[in-house]
Amino acid sequence: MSLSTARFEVLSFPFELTTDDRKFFDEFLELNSALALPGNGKLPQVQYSVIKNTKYFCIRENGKFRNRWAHRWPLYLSVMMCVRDSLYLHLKEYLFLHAGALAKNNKAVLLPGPSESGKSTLTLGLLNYGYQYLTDEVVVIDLSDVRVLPFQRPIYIYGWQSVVSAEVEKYFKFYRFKERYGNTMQPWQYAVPKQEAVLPKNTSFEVGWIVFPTYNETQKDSYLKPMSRAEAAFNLMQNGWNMQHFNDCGLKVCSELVKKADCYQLMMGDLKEACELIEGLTGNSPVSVKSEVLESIWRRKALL
Amino acid sequence: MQSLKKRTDLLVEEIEDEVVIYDPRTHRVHHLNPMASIIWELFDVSVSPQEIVKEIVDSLNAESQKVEKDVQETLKHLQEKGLLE
Repeated sequence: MSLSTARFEVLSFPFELTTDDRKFFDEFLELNSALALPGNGKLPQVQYSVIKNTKYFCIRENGKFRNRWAHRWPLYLSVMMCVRDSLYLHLKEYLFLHAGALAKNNKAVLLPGPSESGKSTLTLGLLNYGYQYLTDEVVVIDLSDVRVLPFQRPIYIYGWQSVVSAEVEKYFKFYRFKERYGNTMQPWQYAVPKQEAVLPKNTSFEVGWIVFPTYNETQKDSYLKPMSRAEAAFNLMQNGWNMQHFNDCGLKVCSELVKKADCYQLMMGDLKEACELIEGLTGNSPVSVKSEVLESIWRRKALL
Repeated sequence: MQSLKKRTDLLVEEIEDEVVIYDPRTHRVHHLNPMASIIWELFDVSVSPQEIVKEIVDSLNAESQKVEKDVQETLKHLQEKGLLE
């Protein structure tokens, strides 16, 4: 059995990955190229392994079984979810929020919300309006200055349709695959930021806007409702990934964040309208966005 | 109404005219609306609910019956949430 091993660093968290599956190894490097940088000599805090037995790929963390998959594609997400959980546990210098984030004119707009609230859909939609991709799920707040750091993980999208304009597609590489759900094979794709879209390490953004999306299936239009900063701080606290580690300063950080930002609730019934409302807050771009692209995102809506 | 005190171990942030409270015992967060925030703040200077009512009526020129109801409801709510002792 031939093993491949590499050391990585995500934020300041060093980890090691070992596998006996060369194809998985190469694709893992490619899919996470915007997020997991090569290790810089630090000893890994956690060692992950992906070893294939007769039927499954087994994921282990420091030797302890975490998960198993029959196919390669869910493995990438699954391993990165293990890494993500380790970040929450080990990195005390960051607050992690369950939110999407994009940047324009050096200011970030945060889209916090639980699963199914529409933040990934909105993140993809806004890419078409000239926003820079920061993350679709994990917002990293540096506690030292309360600024947002990019966490450019691959965006996991249901369906193979094009979800961004031709212009935006230049900045992403798309990996399409089928995954078994019950008796059917479902199409999925990963959108991975290309080198041109990868933000340099230590790039950070002040938060200018915090918009809490709420997707409403029965609603036709979209509208913004101003939210008090206290309510926004309260809601941010509900959307923390690692808030339990910050008894004393979690509330302070959320409070600092909202004090610098304009806060809204976005009731989302139409994606184009929702994107334009946010664009109205952050400043218009000269980009013209084709409705078909947004409809393509919206039709599926089954984004993680 | 019995004499009540704020718990001293709570983490409290005043944001504009509202208050957000983090309870380290339960890890729960509470958001007080502007009226509840005024009542919360007055706990520092008033020793009884009656004094809180009087303070609000005097300073906001508000109707005393309505204020009394607000104060009672807020105190009940704060007690239920375990923020008073």
